[in-house]
Amino acid sequence: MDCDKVKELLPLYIDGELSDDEMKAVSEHLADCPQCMEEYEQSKNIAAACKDLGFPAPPPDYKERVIAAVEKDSKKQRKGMFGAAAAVIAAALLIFISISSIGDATGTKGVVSGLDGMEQQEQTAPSQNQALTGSDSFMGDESRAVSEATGSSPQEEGMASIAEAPQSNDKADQDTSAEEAPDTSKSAEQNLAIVSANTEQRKIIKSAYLSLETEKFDNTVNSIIGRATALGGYVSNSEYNNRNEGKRTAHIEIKIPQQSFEQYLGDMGGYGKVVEDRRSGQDVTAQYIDTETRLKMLKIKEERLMELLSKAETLQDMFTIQDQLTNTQIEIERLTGDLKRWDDMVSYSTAVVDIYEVAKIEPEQEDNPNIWKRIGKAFVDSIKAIGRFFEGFIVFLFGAVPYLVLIGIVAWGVVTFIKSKRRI
Amino acid sequence: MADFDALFDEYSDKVYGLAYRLMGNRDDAMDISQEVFVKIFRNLKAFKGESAMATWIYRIVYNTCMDELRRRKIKQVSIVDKPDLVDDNISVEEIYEADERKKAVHNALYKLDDDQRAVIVMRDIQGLSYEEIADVLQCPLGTVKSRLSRARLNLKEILKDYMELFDEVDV
Repeated sequence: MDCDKVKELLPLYIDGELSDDEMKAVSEHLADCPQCMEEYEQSKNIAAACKDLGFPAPPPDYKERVIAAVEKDSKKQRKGMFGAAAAVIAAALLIFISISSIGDATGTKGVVSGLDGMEQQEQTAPSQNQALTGSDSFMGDESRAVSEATGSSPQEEGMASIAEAPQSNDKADQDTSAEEAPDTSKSAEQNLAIVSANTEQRKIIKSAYLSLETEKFDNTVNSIIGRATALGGYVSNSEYNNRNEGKRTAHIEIKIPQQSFEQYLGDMGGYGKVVEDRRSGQDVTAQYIDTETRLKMLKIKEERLMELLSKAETLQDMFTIQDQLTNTQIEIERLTGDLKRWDDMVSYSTAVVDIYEVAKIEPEQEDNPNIWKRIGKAFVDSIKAIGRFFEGFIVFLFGAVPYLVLIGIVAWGVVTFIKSKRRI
Repeated sequence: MADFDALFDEYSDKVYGLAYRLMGNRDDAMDISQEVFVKIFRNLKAFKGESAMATWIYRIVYNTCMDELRRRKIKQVSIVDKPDLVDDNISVEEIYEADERKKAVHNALYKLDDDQRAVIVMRDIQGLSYEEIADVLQCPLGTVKSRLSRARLNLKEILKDYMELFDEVDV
């Protein structure tokens, strides 16, 4: 073993940390080589000098300062935990607000409906009770947010669009505002009845739009539909919206035989508070007679053409007459269809009813309540709103527990992973 | 807190000493010690005894010091220069009592790389075994050996002008 190699090994040799063979070789070399022996002594002495350096004693206030630092940190950590909890609550609040606002604005489903599912569960109990008192429950399937029932009239689409068209120029239109209903709706109805009595031969398509508020949503819906059926009418279109507890809405389009229409509308006041009542009658008499006349003339034309056709001598004539005859017959069919459609629309009037569920029917407001009452009302309303908000928030929180647990597990996993990677 | 008291009494001097030798001055030693005990207190529950309590604590000291030294290097403050003005706070007695040899070694130590100084301090000053050092550094035994070997050779090289101080055998 040469001197350089020994010098390499000396640092570990002084600790006796070489392999047995190396230890032996170095020992033998040192015995023979005074120069390396000197190196060895120096190395040993340096190590000894290091050991002599030792550790200085800490200053007297050491313990106090360390304890102060530790206490300060644990306070900070508690604060941090408090901050984290506050952050979690704030985040939940934010999510709740954004979800509920999205839900209000667009009526999206997804998470909202998932959470709303709970509210609807709560709602199931009362609605089933009501179903027992009502004839038959229309809301058989609570889990469906929107249910659609469509009647089976061949022309329902056309009729619906006409029924929904804005009021025509007919003077028989009655527009009763919310404040007048329901008492004055009687007189309006009588007016309409008088007009229609004077024009018995006239063709009038009658339609009405009503908006109802009710506390007993299911009862109201069932009564409205039940009454229509009893009068020989049918539901041509309906939509239900169960999205918000206590705020369900229904949109129903009903066809009623014309002679029962007034009676039917008059009954509405008994099913809920009528907040809007618009009626219209579209007089199609002129168009009807016009069409009838044209139809008569076309039929005469058809007969003549038939005669001509039987007398036709040349093939050319026959083709020309046949062409004319075909066109005439198509036109006759079209006009007959128009008349039939008008007859249907006149014999069945359309009622469009929007029903809104309300927690409590608001009493009629004073026209001009004094300022103190208004302040008091605003104050109470705000308190109620805050109450409702926190109620909703608590429901949301519990509803969100599964999500929170999931998020918590993921977050815990991530934090644990990061901690495991982080060295102290 | 009783746990912590016992822990503090047992390890406080070693924590401070190790921090002092790694950082080279009392102010830093104090700061590092505080930080180390904060970390110990925070993580005591997470300590599962996968290594000895002592090496766990030394590891915290070592990591804290190395992080701090690295941080300073990034801030372009050379740690190699600083210990040359070593120890503004060193006590008067220490200066007078320290013999030439100690002074030379002390200064030489801070000319070493940080990780080389660390193994010398742990091995020669603190007297840890190679296995314990490997545990503190979380590295294989072979790495400890090669690092210590290089550190000692470098230290000797730095001290070569003072070698007459180490010729006599007086230990």
